[in-house]
Amino acid sequence: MSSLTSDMIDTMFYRMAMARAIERLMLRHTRENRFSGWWHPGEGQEGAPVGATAALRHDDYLWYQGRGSAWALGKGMQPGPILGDLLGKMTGATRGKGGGVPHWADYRIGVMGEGATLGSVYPLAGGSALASKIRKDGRVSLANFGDGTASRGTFHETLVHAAAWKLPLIYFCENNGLLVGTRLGDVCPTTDIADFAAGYHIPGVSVDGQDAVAVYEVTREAVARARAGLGPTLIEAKVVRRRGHYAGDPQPYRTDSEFADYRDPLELLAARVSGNKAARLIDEAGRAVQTAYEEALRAPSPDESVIGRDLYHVA
Amino acid sequence: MSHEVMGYNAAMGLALVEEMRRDDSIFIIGQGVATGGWFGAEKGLASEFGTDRVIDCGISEAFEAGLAAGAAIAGMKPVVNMGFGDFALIAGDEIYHKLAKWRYMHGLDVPMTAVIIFPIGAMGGAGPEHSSCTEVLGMHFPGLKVVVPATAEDAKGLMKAALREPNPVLFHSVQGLGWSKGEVPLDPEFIVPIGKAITRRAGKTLTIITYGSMVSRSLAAADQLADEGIDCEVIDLRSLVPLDWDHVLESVSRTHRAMVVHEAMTTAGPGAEIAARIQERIFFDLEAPVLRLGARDFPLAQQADLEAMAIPSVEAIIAKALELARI
Amino acid sequence: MAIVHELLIPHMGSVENAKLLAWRVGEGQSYGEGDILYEVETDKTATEIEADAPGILVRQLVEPGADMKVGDRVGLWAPPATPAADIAAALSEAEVRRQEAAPTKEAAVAETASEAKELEGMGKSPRLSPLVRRLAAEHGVDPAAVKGTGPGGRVTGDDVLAAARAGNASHPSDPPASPYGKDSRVVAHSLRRQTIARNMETAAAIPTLTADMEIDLSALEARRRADKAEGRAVSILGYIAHAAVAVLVEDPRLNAHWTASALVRFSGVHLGIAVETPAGLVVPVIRDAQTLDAAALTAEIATLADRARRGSLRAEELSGGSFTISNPGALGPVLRAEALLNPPQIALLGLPGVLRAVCAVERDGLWSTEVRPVIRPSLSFDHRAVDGGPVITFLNQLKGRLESL
Repeated sequence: MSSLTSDMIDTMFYRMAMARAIERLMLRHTRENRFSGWWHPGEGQEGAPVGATAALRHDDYLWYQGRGSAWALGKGMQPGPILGDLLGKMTGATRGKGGGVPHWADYRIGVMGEGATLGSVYPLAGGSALASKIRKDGRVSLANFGDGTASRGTFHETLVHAAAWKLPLIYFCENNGLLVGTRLGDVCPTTDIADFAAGYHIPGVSVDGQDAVAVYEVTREAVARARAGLGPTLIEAKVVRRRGHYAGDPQPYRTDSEFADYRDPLELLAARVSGNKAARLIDEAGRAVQTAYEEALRAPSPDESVIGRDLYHVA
Repeated sequence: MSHEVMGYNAAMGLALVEEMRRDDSIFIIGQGVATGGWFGAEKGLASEFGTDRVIDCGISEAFEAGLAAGAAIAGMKPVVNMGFGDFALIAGDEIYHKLAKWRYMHGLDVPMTAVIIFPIGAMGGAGPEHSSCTEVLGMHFPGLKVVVPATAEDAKGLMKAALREPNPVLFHSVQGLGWSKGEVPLDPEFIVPIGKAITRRAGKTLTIITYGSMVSRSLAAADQLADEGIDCEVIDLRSLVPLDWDHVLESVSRTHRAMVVHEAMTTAGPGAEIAARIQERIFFDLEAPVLRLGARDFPLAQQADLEAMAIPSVEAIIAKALELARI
Repeated sequence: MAIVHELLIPHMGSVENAKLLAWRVGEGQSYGEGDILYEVETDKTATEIEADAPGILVRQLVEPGADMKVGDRVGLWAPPATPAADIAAALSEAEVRRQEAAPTKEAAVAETASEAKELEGMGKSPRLSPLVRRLAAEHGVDPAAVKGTGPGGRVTGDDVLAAARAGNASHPSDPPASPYGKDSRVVAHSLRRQTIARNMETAAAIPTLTADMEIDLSALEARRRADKAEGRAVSILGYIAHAAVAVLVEDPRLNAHWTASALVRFSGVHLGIAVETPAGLVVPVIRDAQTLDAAALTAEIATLADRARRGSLRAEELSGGSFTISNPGALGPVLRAEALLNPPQIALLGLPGVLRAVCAVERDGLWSTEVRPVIRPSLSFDHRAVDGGPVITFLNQLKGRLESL
């Protein structure tokens, strides 16, 4: 039985619909050669971020590594600053500095940012979790990563310490089974990342990542454990990467049969939205994204004042 | 306020104690810090502040540095003793990307206090992976501040400044000076500002620009050179980022001759940047090219005699100064 | 027969010291007879040195600014159309001789340069640090003329500053520390220093007396109007100089030099005319002035004065005078024109301004007063060489000639 209220489901759905609208928009935008960075499509993987972030408090720390824009939207960011950055404009969250590999951050709502060197947020999330433990502020830190970066040294370094110190940390893996074009099984002894948890004496949970509600439920449990001082949980959401690694990836390594039993996370969640509200929310989300896109197109590009900003803070 | 004669590492420790009493967002992490630290700077910290704030860590420098970045972003003031400057390379992504660039790439103009202690330099046979002078790396990645104290007094004053600095500081403690003693002010508000060089000896013939372990050797060389009528001005940079260019250029524009002396390797060492900048800025004040004296471009051997051959001696500084004076 | 010859600082009258100001012919360049080879500044003036025969300038041995003496080598030359290969062959031999004969400043610099082989590629120019180049430009100091005290004799920035303080600057844009404020301008100049030294020497060494006499210039003015009507331009100075020369030819006792061993009287009058120039007082000399009439003398004085002001007098035009006229009256109506002697000359005629004065005039045994143009020249003389008698005689003769023109 889900603990989600219908309002919460509506919010999750609306945020996921915005993420999907941005996916569609960016496909068109990159095809028109109007994009200066690298767009890493997140279509098909919106369910896991939206479900996980729904289980977090607004002041919990999110360190993301994910595709698309669903992690930031799920934590409460608006499409304006997201599209501002994607178009490299002054209205972006980073004033246009962080675009293709997105660096949207908003410390006020716990969106702490993304590491551009893949799999690099583990120790940072460990750091904010340690801060919470020292301060006893009850916050939880979530480190998001892909299955490919579970082989990083800091995956282990951080988790071993976090488990020993019982840090309020959640490792959240989006396992789409692909490292760009390499199959996970070719470079890893298991295709279930949750298996690793046993070595650290922490819970390891595998969940259907296409189902945002299921993801919400396991994350909620992990959050409760963390807040209770019981230490980290490793969650593995099995997801499907619907598109290429990057916009324009010809994907010679994939076949159509892979998508034979594909389930769209947006459709799965729409079934839980009451009445005919889903169509209206999709329409609202599409209009919000389109408005943000048009505003971003009109917004000024970064000027000389931006290049020297945010390097050193002057007290 | 009075002074007390104490060791260089102990002075760093005193700064930590004073600041941890003053600010409970400061915590220290490293290998063995709760059990007294490898070099003694952290002695007694755990008993006063507890193991919540004085945290022993496994052997995982990348984690320690990344943890410092994350904790600092989350508003804490972490201090990491990395054990050796060499280990900066193990934690390259965490130090030179995350600590240096996180705020910049996320467009955040926010304070971020973190002190990474890098004990650097030769200590009589620590070997090629425990003796490196890695401070030049911090000069090459904007977003960090870089200090290298040369005296016990500065070890305390710069550590205090670093703990009050709203930007990450790479604090290079000189391993060879760890047990050297000096007068240290006990005033808890005594601070050596980051980015300010100091003239350790005034002179007219030439300017020796140095820092860290080479300050005392340069002063010893200057004393002997004075007997030969060569009057050296010796500047201790103390900070490499930001570097006190005004101080350096003012001196060199008076003496018209300059040399940079450091223990770091010569090729692409800090001296390369300093020499280049001097000739760019005040070429028409120079009587001679700016010379450099750094370690020879070899890994430092574990055998102490070989180690000594690689790094500048007092005699080598004298020879280089004579060369400069005779151009 | 030698192919390469030495170019020497020529004798220029009593001049001993000369500073090379500039070369006018480049190395390897051909020149004709009478072409200007280089310019020097002597105790007396700036002078252009002409070629007395055509040739090729092979080497400039001295850089501008160098202090030289008469007879010093400044360069090497070869006869016109000498093949370059022959010059080159002869050159090495001449170079060796030159260095053996007298190691010059240039040789010392070359030695320093050869010592520092690591800084090769700077050609034959002396090694100047960036600092020296800047300070030399700022202070108008020619570093080639500065004695180096740096490593290997190299000129340092301090050397340039010392040279600037000592006044070697040709264009001191930044005067050395001065007790005067910013509203003053300190100008040091070698020509003026020489003048000062000579004046002090003259004043101290020579017992100089002066006699004055009033001369009525009514006749001179009438003659001048008449000459002008006939198209002859003669200045007041021209008539007076012409008359003075005529007196000296008749009575040469004041047309003489006082030397250590003898009094030398001249038959020809080599008339020095003191001229005020921007660089100070100079005294060009008109040789055998007795051969010129008043109009020719007027023209010659005007030409020399003009060239003196432009600094283009040759050294020989500044030496060998036997008698000097100083004419401060031309600058303003001074009442008296006593002047220091121009040794070794023994007498100098100073001309004040022409005045309109009330004169007692005798006509047919009756005295009356009239306003007349008068001048009251002063004759200064070396009392070692002459007594008052010849001086009064000279002034009387001059008065007689001018009042009866």
